[in-house]
Amino acid sequence: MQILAVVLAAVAGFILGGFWYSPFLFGHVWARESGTPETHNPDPKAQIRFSATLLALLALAALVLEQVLHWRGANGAAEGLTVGAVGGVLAAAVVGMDTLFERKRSVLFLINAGYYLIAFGVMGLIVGVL
Amino acid sequence: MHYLGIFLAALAMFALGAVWFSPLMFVNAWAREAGIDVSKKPDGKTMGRQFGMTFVLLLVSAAVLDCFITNWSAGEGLLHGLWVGVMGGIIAATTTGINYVFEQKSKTLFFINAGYDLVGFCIMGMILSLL
Repeated sequence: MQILAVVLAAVAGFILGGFWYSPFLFGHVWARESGTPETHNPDPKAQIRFSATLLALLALAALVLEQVLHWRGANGAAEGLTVGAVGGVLAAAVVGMDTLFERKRSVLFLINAGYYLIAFGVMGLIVGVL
Repeated sequence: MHYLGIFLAALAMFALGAVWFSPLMFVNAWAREAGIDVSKKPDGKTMGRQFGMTFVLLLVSAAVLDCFITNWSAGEGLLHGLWVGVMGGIIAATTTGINYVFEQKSKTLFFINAGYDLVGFCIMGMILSLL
């Protein structure tokens, strides 16, 4: 079931992001390095819009991974993980260029690129298995 | 792997970047939205590192697209190269989009950067499909 796989992959990426960018992992360092104020928008409407945008973007990425797997004529955990990780490498390259030109430090690059590598890997895995 | 194709694809997107992020196109809007003071140029060594690293990252991107193309079983030729580029562009746009949602950056900045990636990757995909 392709749609189910894409939705589940997006949710997995979303949950991983919740951990990755939480104060327990890299939230504080990320905020400092990216220069983003650590304030919370208490407005529930803004929060819903924020989460919905993220889920939609992650679903779009999962759809691309699904499509590449489909063209490759492959399925299964290993193939899914491979395609996901390769997609993650592309994401990392894009993040890297942004980091360079915005004159940010490599720590920020490592946090963001690490997230995409793992998240896309997991998403590819889910899409490949389902 | 098409080594020549990967090199030429990276070179093409590098050249596109020079035009895209020039005063003729979007550098002023980009600098304003990203909060970068372009009048304060980094020194030669930093600039060299910046451009050198960018070229390496473009080579990596081209290698990924080439990987998608050679794994592609559903078609070949210019059109399928373009299609692979679109897929790469979507990955770039989602990544940039997610980052900017969190960093509270403007939509203008998103369109400038994601647009560069999309156009650049499409050119890359077409070059890779020909070579």
